[in-house]
Amino acid sequence: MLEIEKLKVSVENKIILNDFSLKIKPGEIHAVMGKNGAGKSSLAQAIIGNSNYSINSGKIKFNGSLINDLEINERALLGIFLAFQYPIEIPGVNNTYLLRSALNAKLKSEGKDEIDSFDFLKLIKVLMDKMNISDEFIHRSVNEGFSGGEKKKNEVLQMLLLEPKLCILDETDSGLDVDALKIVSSGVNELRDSERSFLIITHYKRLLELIKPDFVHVIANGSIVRTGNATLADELDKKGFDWI
Amino acid sequence: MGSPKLNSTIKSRELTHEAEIEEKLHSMGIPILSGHHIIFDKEKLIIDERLINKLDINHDSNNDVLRIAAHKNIEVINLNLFSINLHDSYLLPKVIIKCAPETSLCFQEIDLDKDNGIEISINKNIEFLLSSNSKVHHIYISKLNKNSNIQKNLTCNVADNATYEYSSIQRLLSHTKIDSAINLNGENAKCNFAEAVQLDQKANFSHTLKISHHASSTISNQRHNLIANEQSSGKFHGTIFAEKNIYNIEADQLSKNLLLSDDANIKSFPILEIYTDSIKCSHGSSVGMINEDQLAYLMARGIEKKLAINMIIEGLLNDILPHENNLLLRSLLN
Repeated sequence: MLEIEKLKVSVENKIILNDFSLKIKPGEIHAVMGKNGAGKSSLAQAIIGNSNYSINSGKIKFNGSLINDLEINERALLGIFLAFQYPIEIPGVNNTYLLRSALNAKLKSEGKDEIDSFDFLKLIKVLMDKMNISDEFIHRSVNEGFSGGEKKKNEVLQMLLLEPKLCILDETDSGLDVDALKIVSSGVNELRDSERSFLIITHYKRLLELIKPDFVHVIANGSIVRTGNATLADELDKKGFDWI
Repeated sequence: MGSPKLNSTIKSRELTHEAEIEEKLHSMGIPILSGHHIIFDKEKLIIDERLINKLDINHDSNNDVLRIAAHKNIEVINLNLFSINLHDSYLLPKVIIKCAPETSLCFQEIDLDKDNGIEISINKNIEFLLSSNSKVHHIYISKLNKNSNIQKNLTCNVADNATYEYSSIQRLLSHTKIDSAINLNGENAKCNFAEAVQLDQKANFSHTLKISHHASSTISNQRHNLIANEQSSGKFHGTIFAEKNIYNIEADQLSKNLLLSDDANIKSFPILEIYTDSIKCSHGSSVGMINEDQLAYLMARGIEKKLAINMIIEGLLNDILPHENNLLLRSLLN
């Protein structure tokens, strides 16, 4: 599904990712761990196509096609979704408007009719109930005045709505209490199937206890320095990163 | 030798059924608003006949003043003042709206013109007098084409425990100059002033607003968002004035402005004139281009760039008037 080959990424002329390679097959869950500043979030931003992150060399392929030059929305419509580490506040734009616009963009790209308000509200209500989100939530401005946990829930709500092919979760567990973590992880687990892949960026193994990864990668200085199975997360939890 | 008296354009007046008024508005593509209507239509003043039992309305043609008085203890009245079919030099009578104690009035002021190429010059003068414990919500909606030139003076005197709320949305291609003076004269008087303006083409907009605290325990809040596109220019002078020997004042002012083109310009002046020490006060102003992080976030959900930019613009307009459900206002926003 996702193939990254020898990727070199910079921000304002500073190299963030260097000689980075990773393959994710359909249905796989990959976790990426590493110290602060190792390049984990930059990897997520480079995959989704944030224009602040310049690709100096290397390739990002999605389902066999090179996506290096695609705009951020074009990559999203292919099925790449990022649950942001720091979801952005957009005053005055209500959540319903964002969610419906995003869903309609997806439906349009698939050659389908846009969803009408009534059907949309029915659909979103079901998903909100799953995420234990109150009704007033979607009528508020996007992420404005949300607690850290509410912002993360909102990201997962968007993911459930859009049913992407590749879900990237950038520290979705940070800022969540134990109960919220369970709700978020059950939302993620609900999306798991043999065709959908996940890239989970985290510092802690607690999320990986609820969403079992197939592979765990450690990033340092912009490239992968170790790969293992789920037990690597346990080891990192006990020993930290310095022993690698 | 004094200057010649300038008479308003209004030459006649009539009372009309609600249905007739609504048909007229509907024919102009104006959504039907709840409430009662007063219309300046070319040279005619048209008044919804139902208003006669609820308000004192007096058009004094000698002094060129339209006086509207709300009696004590009336229920909330929605009063819509339209200026339509504007033409040439359009001078409205001065409108004085007086609210008796305990009254509550929602006053919608709407200026619409058609893009028919006729040059229009509009002169407006509106004054509110709020008695104790009264409340006015003043909504101003303006959508004017490039040949319009509007000059408006707004004055509001607010007595003790009274509240004046102003919500405005303006989409302009025109030249507009507004001078507003809000005086909080009695204890516990409040003013919430919110205005969102979008300018296109060569529109030129200027608003000088002064909210003056003349009594203790008065509260004011100014919010002003300006969006300038193409070669338009906008200017906002917002002043908080608080005189000495008054106490427990709260005053906030925030102006958020968005430039959509390199040729557009916005000047924002958040000004404080504070002569008391007993005040909690904030003021701030920002001018910038589209926030790239917001744009990336929306596009990361598959939304195309043009729509994402429009959503951010609408957001800036909506942000200032989040509680508005006004139909016409919504239709202008969208």
